[in-house]
Amino acid sequence: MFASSSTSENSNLSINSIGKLPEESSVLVVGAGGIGCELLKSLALCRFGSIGVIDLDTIEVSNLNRQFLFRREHVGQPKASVACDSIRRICPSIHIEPFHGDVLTDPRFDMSFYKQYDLVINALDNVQARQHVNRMCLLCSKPLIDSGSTGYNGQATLIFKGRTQCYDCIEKPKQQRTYAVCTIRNTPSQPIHCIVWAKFLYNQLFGDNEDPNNEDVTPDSDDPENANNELENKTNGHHRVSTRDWIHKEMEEFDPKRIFNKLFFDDIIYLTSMKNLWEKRRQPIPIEYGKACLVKEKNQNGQGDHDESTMPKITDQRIQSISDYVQMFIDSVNDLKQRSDKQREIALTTKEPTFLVWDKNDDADLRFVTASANLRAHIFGINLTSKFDVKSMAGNIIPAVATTNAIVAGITVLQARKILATLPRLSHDHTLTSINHLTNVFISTDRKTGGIIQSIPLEEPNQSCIQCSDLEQPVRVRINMSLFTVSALYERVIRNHLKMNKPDVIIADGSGRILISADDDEDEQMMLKTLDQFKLMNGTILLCEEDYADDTNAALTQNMKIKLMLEHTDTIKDIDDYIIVDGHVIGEIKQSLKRKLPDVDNDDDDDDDNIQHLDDYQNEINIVKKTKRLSTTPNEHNTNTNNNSGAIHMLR
Amino acid sequence: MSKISGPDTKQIQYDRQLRLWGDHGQKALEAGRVCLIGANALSTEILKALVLPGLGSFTIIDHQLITLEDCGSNFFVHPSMIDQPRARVTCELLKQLNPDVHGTYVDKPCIDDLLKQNTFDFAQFNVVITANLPLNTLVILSSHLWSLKIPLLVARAYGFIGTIRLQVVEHHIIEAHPDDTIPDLRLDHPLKSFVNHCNSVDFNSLTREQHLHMPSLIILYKTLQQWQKQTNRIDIPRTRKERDEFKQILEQLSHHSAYDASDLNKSLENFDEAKRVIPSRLVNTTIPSTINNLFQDRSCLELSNQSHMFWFIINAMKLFTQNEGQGLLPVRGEVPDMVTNTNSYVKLVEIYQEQAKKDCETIHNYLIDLLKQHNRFSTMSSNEAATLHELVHIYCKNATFLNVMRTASITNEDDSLKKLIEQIPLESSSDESESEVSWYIGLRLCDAFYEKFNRYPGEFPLSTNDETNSDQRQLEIDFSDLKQIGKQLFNSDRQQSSIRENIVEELCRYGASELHSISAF
Repeated sequence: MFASSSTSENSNLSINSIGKLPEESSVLVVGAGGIGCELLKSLALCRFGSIGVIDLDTIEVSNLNRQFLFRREHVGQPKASVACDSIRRICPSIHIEPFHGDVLTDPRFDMSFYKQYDLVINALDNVQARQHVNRMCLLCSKPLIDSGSTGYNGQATLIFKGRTQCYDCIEKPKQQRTYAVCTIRNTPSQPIHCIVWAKFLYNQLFGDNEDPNNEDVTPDSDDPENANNELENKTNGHHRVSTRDWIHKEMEEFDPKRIFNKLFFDDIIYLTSMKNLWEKRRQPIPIEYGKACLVKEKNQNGQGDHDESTMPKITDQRIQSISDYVQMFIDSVNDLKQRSDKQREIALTTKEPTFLVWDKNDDADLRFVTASANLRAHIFGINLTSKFDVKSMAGNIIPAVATTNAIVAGITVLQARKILATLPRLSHDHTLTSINHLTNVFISTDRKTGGIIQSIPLEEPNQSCIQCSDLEQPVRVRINMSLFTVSALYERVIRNHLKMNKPDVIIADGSGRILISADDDEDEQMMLKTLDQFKLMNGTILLCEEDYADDTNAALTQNMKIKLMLEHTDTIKDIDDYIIVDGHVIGEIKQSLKRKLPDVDNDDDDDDDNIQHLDDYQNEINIVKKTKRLSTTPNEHNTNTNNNSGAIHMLR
Repeated sequence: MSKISGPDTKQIQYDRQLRLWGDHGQKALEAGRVCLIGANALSTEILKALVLPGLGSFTIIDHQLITLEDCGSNFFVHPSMIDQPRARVTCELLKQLNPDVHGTYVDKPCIDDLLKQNTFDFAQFNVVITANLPLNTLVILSSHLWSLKIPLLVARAYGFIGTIRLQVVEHHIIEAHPDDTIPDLRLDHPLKSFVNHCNSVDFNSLTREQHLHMPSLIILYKTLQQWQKQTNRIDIPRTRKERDEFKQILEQLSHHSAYDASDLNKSLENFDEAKRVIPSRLVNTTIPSTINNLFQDRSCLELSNQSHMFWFIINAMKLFTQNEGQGLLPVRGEVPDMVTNTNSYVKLVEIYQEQAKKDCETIHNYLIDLLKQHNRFSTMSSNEAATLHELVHIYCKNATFLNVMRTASITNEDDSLKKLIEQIPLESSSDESESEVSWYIGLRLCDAFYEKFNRYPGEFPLSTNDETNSDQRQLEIDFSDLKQIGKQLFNSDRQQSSIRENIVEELCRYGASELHSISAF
C-alpha cells in the first residue's frame, strides 16, 4: 500500500528474476473465449509487453455469463477485436493486436507468424485446433501452454518440443462418438440416434450438399441385417428416393407438410417392409401429418407424466407433446427455408457459402433438430428429449463458469512467467535453460482431500509420437488447398516427387482418416476433389506409408514412412503448382530410400515445369528452388545431399 | 441471433452454467445477497465471478480512494479514476458486467466505525466476504456475524499465496451434486414389487426376443436368487470365489435354446452389460455414516420450536428409517439407463418411482406430525406448507448426500492454532516442501507485525534505483522484527523451531503486495 508506482508491485517480486521479463516478451493467445478473456486480463495486468489474440468467433449471448470483456451490446461482433478494445481501455500502454480468423485455415497464421512470439497459449475449446497449434509450435520450437476447462475442472499443460509430451503424444479420445450408419438410418434405439439423424437431415435439407461426409437419412436397404430380404424389397411398391434428390425437386414447390409425410410416413413404411430388422425389435409406427397434429400425449409410454412437482420450471427443459413438435417442425422448416433462400442470394454477391451450417446457439436450428429428433423418437418408441437436453447432446456443450476459467488463467499466467524466466534474455534462441521447476497443473475438486489444485510433473515425450518425435521431419508442401486435387497430390507430390509407389496416405489429425488407400482402386470422383473438400487445413500432416516387399529376400522387406505437411497459400493460382519447402529433408529421405531401394525406376518424365519459383521465401533458411534446374543425374546425389541443404534433390 | 427478449435471453445467457448447477442452483444464486468488505483486486475478482453468473445483489463496503497501486493490480480501475472512492467506482464497473445484478456501496464511515456504531444491518445478507481485512477488524466482525449466524468468508491474497477461511455456524448440504453415484437399486434388499415383477419372469420360457431384451437389472436379480439358493445364503456375493460362482450362473442364464450355433458369436448386449455393472449393482445398501451422524446430532435429537426445517426433515427421515424403512433410507427412485426395450425399462422405472413416492409420502406425514408437536405447523403460512411436499421430495432424492457443515469461530482460532503447532514434528523432514500449516503460521506472524507497526513486513515505499541498498536494509530489519514477533508469540523453544526461516523471509519479500494473477483465483 506504500508502493510508489503501479508497476512497482510486479517488479518488487521479480527483483531476483532472470531471463525474460514480461515487459520484454510477446505472447500469442489462441482463443478469446472463457479462459481467453481471463488470460488477457491477467497478462495485461502482469505487464506483458505484447499480446496477439486469435479468435474466429463472434460474441453470443451465452458467452456473457463468463466472458467478461464482452457486454450485451457487443453481441454479433468479433471476439478478438472487442476483447482487445476492452483490454486497451484499462491498459492503454499495452501492445495488443486482434486477429479475427480461423487458426486452422487462415493463411496469415503461418510459421513466420508464430515465430514472432516468445510463447503461445492455447485457450481453445476443441481438439482439432489444439492439435494444429501444437503442431505449429513444435515446428517453430515455441513453448506452448495448453489450457482448458470443463465445468469445475481445468488444466494447464506445458509443451516444449522434445522435452515434454506434446498434445498428440497421448491419443485423445474421440470427441464425438460415431454411430453405425444403419443404426441412425434404420434402427435407432436411443434418443441420441434420433438427434444425430436430425442433424444429418438438417444438412440434407439446408446444408452443404457437396460435403462427402454428409450422410443420407433415408432407409438403407443395404443393412447387413436385412441381407435375406432382397426379394421383398424389389416387389415393394415404394421406390427409394434419397432425401437429397427428393429435396432438390421438392424445394421448387416447397411444402413442409409433404416433407413431413415423406420423412415420418413414407420412409417409415418403407423401413417396416424390411422385415428382418423387426424380428427382434419393436416395429416403428409411421405417422401422418394430419394425425400427428392430434397427438396430445407426450409419448406412448406416458413418460414425463409421473410427478408434476418435480417438473422443471424452465420451458426448454420440459418435454412437449407430439402435436407441439409437429408445429415446431413445420415452423422451423419454414424459417430455415426462408433463411436458406436468403443465404443463396447473399452468396451470389459475396464469398459466403450457399448453404446453412447447423449452429447449436441458433434457435431455429435447434428447434428443427429438437422437433425432428422427437418425432422420430415417437415413431420408434424411444423416450423424448427436451430442447435443453437436445442442445447439449447435439451441440456437444461443455458447461462453463467464470470461476474455473479464472483459476486456470491465473495459473497459466504464473506458468507463463516461469517459462519466460527460463528463456535467455535478449536472445531469440528459445532453447530453454531448465524446465525442472515447471509442472503441469490440474484443477479438480477432490472430495476426499478437499484439494483443488494439483501439480503433476512434466512427462517425457512419447518416442513414437507422429507429431513430435524428431526422427521424422515432415516434408513441407506449399499448395493452394482450394485448387490442388487429391489426384495432383498423389501423382505429382507423392509418386513423382517423393518416389513412393502406392502408399497408404493417412491424415494424421487424430481422426485416422485414410485419404488414399493402397489396397483400393482410386475412386476417380474422389481423386478430382480439391484438398479443402476433405477439411484438410494449413498444417495438416499426412502420413504416407508403404511396404516395400523384396521378392528375392524377405528380410529386406521394409516399411517406408514419409510425413508430408500441407501448407496453404493463396498466392498460388495454378491448380497444379506446388512448392516444396525444406529441401534437406527430402535429401535425407532420398538417402534412406536409396539404402532401402537400390533399384528405383529411372524412367521418370520431367514434368516439373509448373513448380513455381519462390522469391518471397528467400529469407527462409531452407530455400526452395525450381526443381527443374536441380534435376541431376543419378550418381550425383550421394555427394551433395548434406552440404547443399538449401536445394531439393530429385531422386531418379 | 441476437433476439433479446425477457426470460429467454436470461436462459441463453446462463445456459452453460445451468448445465453445471441446475435451475435450483441458479435460483439460489439469484436470491443471493452478498456483502463484500474491501474494494481491492481480490474482492472485485470475487465479485466478478459472482456477478457474471447472475448473483441477486451485492454491497461493497470500503472507505478508501483509488491509488495508482490499485490500477496495477485491479482490472476494474483505470489511472484516470485515481482519488475517486474505490467502493463507488468498483460497484459501478461491476454492475456493468451484468445489468441483472443490483449493486450498492458504502464508502463511509469505514468498516471499523461501522462496527463500533453497530447500526449497520448485517443480517440482510446471506454471506459476508472480506478481502485482505486486517486481523483486529476481522475478529470484531467475525464475532458479530457469529452471533447473527451469518456465514463469513475470509479471503486473502498475500504475494504468491492466498487463503480462504470460512466461518459458518451451520450450513446444510441438501443438493450435493455428487460426481458419480452408485445407483440406489437395492438388490440386497429388493423392493417387494420388484421381486414380484422378477418372479413373473421365467427364464425357461422366454422367447428369443424377450431374452434379448431382458434388462440387466432383472438378469442380475435372477442370478442372485439362484446363487442364494445354491449357496443357502441371503446376502450378496462378496469374495472373489463367490463372485466367480455368481458369474457362472450368469453365464448359464445367457444361453437360450432358440440360438443356433452361429448365434453364439453374437454378442448379448444385455448380458454383457450385466457382467460389466456387477461392481455397482451388487452392493450393500446401508445408511452412510454421515447420515447416522446427522441422526445422532444434538440438533436432531433436541428439536424445538426454533429448530431449522432441515432438522425437522432429518428427524422425520430418522423416524422413517426406524420404522417403514427397515433400517434404510427412502428409495431414490432413479433407474440407470440399460440395454432393453422401452417398455421393460419404463416398467422398472415405475416400480422404483412408485416406492420412492410412497417413502416420500411417509416422511412427509412424519414431518407434519413433528411440526404439529412443536407448534410450528399452525404458524406456517399456507404457501409455506404447500412447498413442504416438494422440499421433502428433494431431501429424499438426495438422502444419501445430506450433510451439515460447521466451522470454529475465528475468535477461537488461537486455541486450535496452538494445538496445530504442537502437532508439527520437531525435526521436520526438511526436504518436504513447506507445509500449509507453516505458511499459515507465517501469515499469522504478519498479522501480528501489522498490529505492532500498522503495516505488513516488507511493505514500504520503494526507493529510487540508486538506493536499492536501503530497501535491502529495511527488508532485513523487517525480517528480524518478524522473527522476534514469532518468538514472543509462541514463547517456547519447541514451537520456535516450527517457524521456518525461509517462509518468514519469503513473506517479507511479498510485502503484502497483491498480485493480479493470484487474486484472480
